[in-house]
Amino acid sequence: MRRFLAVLCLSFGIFAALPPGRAAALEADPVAAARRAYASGDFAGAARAFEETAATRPALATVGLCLDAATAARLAGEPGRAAWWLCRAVLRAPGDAGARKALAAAGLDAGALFSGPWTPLGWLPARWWWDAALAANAVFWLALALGRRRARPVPRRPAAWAGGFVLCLWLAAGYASLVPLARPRGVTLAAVEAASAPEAGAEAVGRFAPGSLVALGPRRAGRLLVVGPDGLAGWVPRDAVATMVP
Amino acid sequence: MRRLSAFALALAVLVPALARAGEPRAAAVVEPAEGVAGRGLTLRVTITGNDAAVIDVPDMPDWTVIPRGRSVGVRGEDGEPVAAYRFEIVPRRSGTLSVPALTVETGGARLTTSPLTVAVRPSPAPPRALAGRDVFLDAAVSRDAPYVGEAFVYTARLYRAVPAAAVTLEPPAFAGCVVDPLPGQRDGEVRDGGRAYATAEVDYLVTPLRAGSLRLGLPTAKLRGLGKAPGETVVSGPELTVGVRPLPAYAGTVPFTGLVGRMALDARLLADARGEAVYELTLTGRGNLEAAAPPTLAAPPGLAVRSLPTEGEVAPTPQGYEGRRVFRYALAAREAGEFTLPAVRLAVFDPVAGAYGVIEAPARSFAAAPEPPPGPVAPPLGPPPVATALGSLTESWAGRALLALLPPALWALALLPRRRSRPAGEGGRPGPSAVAEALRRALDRATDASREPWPEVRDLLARLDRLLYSGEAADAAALAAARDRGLALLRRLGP
Repeated sequence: MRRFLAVLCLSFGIFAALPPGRAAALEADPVAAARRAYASGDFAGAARAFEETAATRPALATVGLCLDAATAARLAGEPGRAAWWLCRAVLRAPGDAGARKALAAAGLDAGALFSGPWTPLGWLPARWWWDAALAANAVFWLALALGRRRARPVPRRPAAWAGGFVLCLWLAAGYASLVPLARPRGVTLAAVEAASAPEAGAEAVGRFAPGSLVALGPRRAGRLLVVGPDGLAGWVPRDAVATMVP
Repeated sequence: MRRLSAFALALAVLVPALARAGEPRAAAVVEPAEGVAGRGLTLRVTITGNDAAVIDVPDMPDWTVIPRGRSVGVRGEDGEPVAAYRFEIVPRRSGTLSVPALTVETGGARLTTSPLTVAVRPSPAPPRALAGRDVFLDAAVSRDAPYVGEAFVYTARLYRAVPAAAVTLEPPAFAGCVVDPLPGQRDGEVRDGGRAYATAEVDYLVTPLRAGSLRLGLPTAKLRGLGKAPGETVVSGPELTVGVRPLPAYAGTVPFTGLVGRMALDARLLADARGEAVYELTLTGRGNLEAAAPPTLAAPPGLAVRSLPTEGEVAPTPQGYEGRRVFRYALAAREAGEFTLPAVRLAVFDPVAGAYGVIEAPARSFAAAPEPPPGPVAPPLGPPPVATALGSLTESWAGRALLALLPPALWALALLPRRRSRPAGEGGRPGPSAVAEALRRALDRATDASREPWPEVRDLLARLDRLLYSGEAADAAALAAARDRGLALLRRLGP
């Protein structure tokens, strides 16, 4: 009886954790609103709606949605935001030929996107590490439970190796999720001058083009220290940079 | 002859100017223009050109000079290279101090900057209440009676005569105000009553939004490891009251939208020949620039005006909010022609003068061509994304936690001990094995097993064991009879 209640509680937990109205999850109402705005020529509104969709329903932020949002942003006259969406699309699915082609057409370098500490193996995004860790974790524990249930002895050495493998996958998923927080990157939304200090009237040390991939540093007085791929470092207004989402 | 003279005159004017364009130039500026004795200011020497420079800093008895490095960049639309050399200069006394002309050698040229003067106020005296205390928190405001919308500086100052491991300064709530912390914390040292106090000052730029008495609550300082005191020590500062003055009644004809400060307005057209142009109004200066609403444009007939997102940057400084706001408007002409956008005027209240003034952007004209043919059709979008239930789970942290914990939970369930199956009784009555176990326990508790009914119990127990555990096929009727007899014996034995 007790075991039955426990399984019932777990099943209820899974059910409650599913997105509201399982059927509604398969629809895409916010996306439909964005597509309607796009069709009516309101590209800025469409770009905003795509962004809200990705923020509120991360599962809908697929490569296709990222590319659509990039198109809307480009037509709305926001090349920096379009570049941000393209980078997000390629980070989400590095092997997607359409995303890479769109990134190259925008004059952006996919190699720079995958250099640095963000991706442990250079091309596996954080989402894939999570999927692998969750799948391996499920197989490992369910195999142990099945062995116990059937009173079959579990060989210790293979079990230890399998456990170590699952632990490594967890560590990789944690690393891939935490590195973007510890070493954030972003994309400049517009052409912006980089100042030598976070003070009003500080000298300009250079200029970032819209869509430049930059490493983000500390924030001070509404300004952000950014470092470009060519080593140019300077303080820019915080609003001029969109933080990259892995 | 007259033409030759004019040519010579033009040469005389133009050649030195052209020569100056390529020559390095040096300029020095002190920021901010006013200071306090003992507090550092920034002396910035800007030198044009790509060559390295050597700056000869003469002896400055009124200042302590600390080099703070060099930064290189470009300036202006033509990308003129500029190097900025920064020095921190700390005034040693109050008064009107001078920064002498600096000699700069760069690219074989020897340049001289203009001498500067800086007004330096004396550093504030320690408060009387400080006497005899180890820790004291004081607060002050830069203006006792600001106007609504006029920014003032709130300073929290901590005096400490004993060491502390960690100090956290928390300002009051500032209800009814817009508040921005000013960058940087100033540390110093003062002496009072024969004791040396380390001071730490934090500034906040406060803009009151309502007239009347503004109560600024208690600032607090939390100190850990203060002297020999264990735990955290909390010190409160004074509560201040600021009388916020309402703006005087405005009776002008130019629209007033609540701008307070000293500002300037300018206008320009970014594109003026293709039917749609962008008209830019730039509001610069010091004051509540963030509160500025986009001015309403009086568009001439035949011209459609559409507001674009406002841009600009406004930063808090000890003197107030400084920066610029850029209001942009897209202009679309319904037909070709010459259009003139009238001058834009705004009323601004100057809190220093205590009076309203008018700032004006001049009128701008542009020629609009007929509307161009429609642009390329927007490319079709891809198929709408579809989210699966499992995908939604793996994308959220809660779903990931659930999926991660579910398999180990199932494994833990498998670890629970299985309940042994007992031979079922009939009609809720205990089975033969339960009866046998109960008889065995009763026999173990017996004091004298030789007296009745224990021999009978022993015989029945042996029979039940034989029927249950001998491995032979048990006769159900014999088993039931033995169980019933055992139950009868148990009833006789009592609880």
